Amino acid sequence: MVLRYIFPISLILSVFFLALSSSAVLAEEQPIAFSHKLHTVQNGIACQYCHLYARRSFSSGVPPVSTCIGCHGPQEQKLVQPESVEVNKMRTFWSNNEPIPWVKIHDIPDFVRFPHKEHINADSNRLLDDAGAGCDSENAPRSLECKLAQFRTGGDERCLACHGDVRQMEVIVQVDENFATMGWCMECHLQVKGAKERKRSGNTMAGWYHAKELNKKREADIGLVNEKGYHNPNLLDCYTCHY
Amino acid sequence: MKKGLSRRNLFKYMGVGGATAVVAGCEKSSEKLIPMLIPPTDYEYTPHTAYKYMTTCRECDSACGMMVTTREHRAQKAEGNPNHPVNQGALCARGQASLQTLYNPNRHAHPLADGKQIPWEEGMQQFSAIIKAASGAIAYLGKPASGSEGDFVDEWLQAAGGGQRFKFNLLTQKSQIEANKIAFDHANVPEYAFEKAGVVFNFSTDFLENWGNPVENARRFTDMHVYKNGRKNKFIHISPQVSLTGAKADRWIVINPGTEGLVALAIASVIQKENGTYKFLKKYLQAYSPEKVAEATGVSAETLSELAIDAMEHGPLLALGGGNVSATDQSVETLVGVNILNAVSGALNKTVLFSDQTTPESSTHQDLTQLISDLNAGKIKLLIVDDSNPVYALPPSMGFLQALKKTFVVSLASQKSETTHTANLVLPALTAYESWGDAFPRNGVRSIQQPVMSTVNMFDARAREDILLSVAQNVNKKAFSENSSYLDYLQNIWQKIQRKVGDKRKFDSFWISVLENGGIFEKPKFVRASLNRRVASVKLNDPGMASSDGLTLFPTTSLLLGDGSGANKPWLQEVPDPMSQIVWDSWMEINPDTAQKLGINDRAIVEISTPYGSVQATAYYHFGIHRNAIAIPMGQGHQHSGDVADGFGINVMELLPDQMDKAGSLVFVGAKAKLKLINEKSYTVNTDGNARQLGRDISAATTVEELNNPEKHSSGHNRPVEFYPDRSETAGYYKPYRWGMTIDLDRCNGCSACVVACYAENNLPVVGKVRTAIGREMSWIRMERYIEGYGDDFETRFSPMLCQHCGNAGCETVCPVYATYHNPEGLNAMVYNRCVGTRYCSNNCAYKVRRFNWFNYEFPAPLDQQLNTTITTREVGVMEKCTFCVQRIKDAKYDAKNLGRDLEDGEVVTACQQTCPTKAITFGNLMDPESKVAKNALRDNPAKRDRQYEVLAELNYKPAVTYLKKVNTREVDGHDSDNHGSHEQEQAHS
Repeated sequence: MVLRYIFPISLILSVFFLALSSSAVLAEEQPIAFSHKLHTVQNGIACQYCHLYARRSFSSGVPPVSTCIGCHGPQEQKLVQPESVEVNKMRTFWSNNEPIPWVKIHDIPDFVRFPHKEHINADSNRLLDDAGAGCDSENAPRSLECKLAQFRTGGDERCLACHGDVRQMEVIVQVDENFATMGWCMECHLQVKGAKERKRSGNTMAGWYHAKELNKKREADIGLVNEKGYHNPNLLDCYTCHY
Repeated sequence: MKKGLSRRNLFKYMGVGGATAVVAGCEKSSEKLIPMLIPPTDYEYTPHTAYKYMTTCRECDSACGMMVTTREHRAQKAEGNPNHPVNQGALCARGQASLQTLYNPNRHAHPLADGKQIPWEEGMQQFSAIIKAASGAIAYLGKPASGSEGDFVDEWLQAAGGGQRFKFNLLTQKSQIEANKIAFDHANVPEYAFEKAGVVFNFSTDFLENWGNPVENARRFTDMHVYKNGRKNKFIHISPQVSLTGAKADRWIVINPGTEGLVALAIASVIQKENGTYKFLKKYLQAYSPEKVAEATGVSAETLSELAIDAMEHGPLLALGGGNVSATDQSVETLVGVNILNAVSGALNKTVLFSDQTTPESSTHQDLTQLISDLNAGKIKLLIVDDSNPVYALPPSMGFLQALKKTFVVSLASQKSETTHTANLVLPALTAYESWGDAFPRNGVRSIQQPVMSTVNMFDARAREDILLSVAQNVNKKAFSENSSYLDYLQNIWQKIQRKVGDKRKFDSFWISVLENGGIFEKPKFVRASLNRRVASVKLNDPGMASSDGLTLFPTTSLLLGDGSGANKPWLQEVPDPMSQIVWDSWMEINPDTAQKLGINDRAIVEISTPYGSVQATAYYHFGIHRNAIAIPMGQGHQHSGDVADGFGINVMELLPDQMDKAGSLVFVGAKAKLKLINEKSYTVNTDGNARQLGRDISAATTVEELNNPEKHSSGHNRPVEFYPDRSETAGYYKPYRWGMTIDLDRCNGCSACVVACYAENNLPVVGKVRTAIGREMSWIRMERYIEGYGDDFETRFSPMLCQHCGNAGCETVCPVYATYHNPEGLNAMVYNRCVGTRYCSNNCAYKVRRFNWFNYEFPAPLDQQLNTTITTREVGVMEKCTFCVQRIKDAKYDAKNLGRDLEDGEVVTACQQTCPTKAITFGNLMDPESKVAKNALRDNPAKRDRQYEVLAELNYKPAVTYLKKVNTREVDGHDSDNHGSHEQEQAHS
């Protein structure tokens, strides 16, 4: 009699496991329970104070342990939070000369080459003039308009466009379900000047027989050349990211 | 319900159970972010950024300057140092493979005593103890030192109680140095100013492969030899054997083995008679007149006179002598003959330039024979060896291996080799890329060698000189008392150098500038040399090698393996030897006529016996070898050099006698071989499909005459008329860049440095012999070799073939998932993650340059540390091919964008272009009319127009790679190519 229910129960269980395994809930725990909320909101540290390679390098890197020690002090000379269990974990790593093996939450596949520096230093003028207008930050904080508005703002606000409101996070999570899928990246990449026109102008398979003009003015129309006179990276070309 | 499990229910449970198991196992495993502990503070360090360090390449004795690109403190790519006067930014194939010396899995990882692992402290104690016991009876058998390490070891030996240093290298220029001493009173090697010569006579040297400095020779030779201003200078190869060097010649004069000197003297006699200089030579040279030597040399008197007249009319001459093929027991006399020719023709002090410098050191064969007898007599109590490999390289008939057993051997080598296998105590040393040193290869060049990264973490090794230093301080308190390390010792020497060059800065600033530059380079100071009369008493006899009792054996150097040290590097085994296109093996070159007479087919297995040994190798039909000779390359046949070297090919040194010439060098050409057919079929793998072009014009050539003929101008790129509008008419395409490449076949000599550079830059896997046999090698650029003509009048043509980035690609249209497409900058883009592995693209590629990943290929540790992190490493199931180094293009574009401008010509350099010693490859933006590549590729340049062509242009693929035809001085008839009977190269049998 029980046998009858085995099939539906297993079906439900497997769907449950599937959901669990792909969600952030079952994600691995960090070696140290570092709270961004505490450090950024309470203590007012800027993103790029610790994450210094974000604007300097292709890969964003992760803060060196010496940055933590800079404020908290090593075992011998505990400065900030001498008794905290988590901070002492970090001090132990330091005294053993071991780097802290952080779990990478914001991960993109190895076949995508993502230059962190170019994004932090990007010129907001490249975005469409109305990109970011109509952001409803209370009801839909992760809408495309809000992300574009955050990106436009520049500085540390720009970090939040992709990483979400890290300032409110006790534990870092991926805010967008479809983070780092190509669709998620292309949402913003399609909001640059000239992208719509370029889709019809010949870079994609669809319309290469449409446009025939060659002059620089036309290049500017399709967003290839910027106001300063040099060329922007072509965001609609597969080879820009997948090489 | 029925008892038990019904069929229907079984399937239900299996399905759900299986699905659950799969799904439950499907958790995303996370990657880790590893921070630094303390970032570097003496410079602004950024991750994922390339930092380049200048050092010196130590793969051979040339000591080219090297620039190593490191990312995250790992060396990932080696290039030439652009500031170095010797190689000027280029690097040969062996230099490119130097990273596989550094990351070789077959390096010594731990100190060993009699094969058992011991801690370093114990190893050092044992070493100190044996030094104390062996005081006065120590022998240090190392490579010849061109820098400070020689003096260091000499001082060390003194501090250790006395001993002798031997400088062993199988390939030396000792005979040449001796001949120069006799003829010119200069016991060293001159500089050869190829670019000043009008004619080059090459007497059997392999100057583009392993003789002298091949990178510099290639560059200077090409400057002299390329088609310029409507004419070409001449290069004549006078030898019994044609190697890669000889393949570049305008004419090959076949001479009998060992008669190079006689030919040189015959030519000299004609010249001397003509211009009457050097009167004291008149009588001497009359004995070597063309008529008198014609029979011995096998060259007619007319030809010899022709050559002499050529040298006089089109001079200045440059005559080169040396190398293995002329290394008979008369090698010194032969080279004196070549020297006489240089003097008589006026080449001396014009194209042959001497300077006052210390003689390059190397021990003579005589010295080694003495060492062996001392070892046998028990006079040597301690023998220290480093990375030279005498157990492998010396002929076994010398008895070195047996002699080693009579003493205590300590190995201070980094790589496992036959020699270190015999060692009682192994103390692993660091490679040159992780340790300090210097090199003074010649007058005016002081090259620094610095560690480009900290030591490879898999190997518990120390710098050789530091091991010696601390052991010396254990044994002798006063030894090296002012030096805490070898770096210290080195800096003392460089302080003296600083004073010598007159640099007035603080030493620290001077030192930094030396490290940034790669060394101190000054213009060489030449001195006048003159011919000494004593040459008239040097007698040269007919060596009589052309007689029929056996075939003369030539042990040739291998372009990629050198004297054998390249065999443990996977890239050098996988990249085909350009002349034979054979991989992972040895072969025996034999003339087809001789082989036919002996009943030996192409690629049959033959037993080659000399009175000293016998080996079995595959016969390779080669027009470029004398009918009474055979040639076998060195370098294979290892037994204890690691899994990439052991068991492949044979060691030709086993066939050689223990014989030396008047300079005390080993006689290489001293044995006659007998052949016996063993098996009609062999398992020798070659990567060329057909040695003939069959009229396809893949590697095309033209002649000087045709180029100068005003009526014979090319009508245009050999393409059909186009029907559809070109992509350049659309707004999105080719603005501002359209990447293109030209390959000048007149400059290319087939050295394959580009092939190895591509392996290094793009994380290409090595697939091994079995898979190469079925065509699964992964090279993105390959060196194709085609033969034109037959018999003595044959021509070898090379053509580097890579993805042509076609404007109208065959591969793009057939991909069902749009994984490959034409990118707006003209590249044929390959998106690995979209590829599903239909392989239709490779099927449709007419050039067969697309490579499929049939497996997840391994990079055994620590070779995976060499992988370039700026590029995706491909997994099983995806297609890959040349990308025109898109990672370099992107990096350069980001840099330019951050500077607020577009790219300029020369900022993007592909790996193949950068390493080419002859600068045959140009790359850049075809849309920029001022760029080098546009000047070579576009139709509006009259100087290049008649030479431009595309491969298989009639297919209308519109390649972005334009080839420039090789320019010959005469036509070689290869066009009646079908079914020429026995001369056809047959397919390899497996």
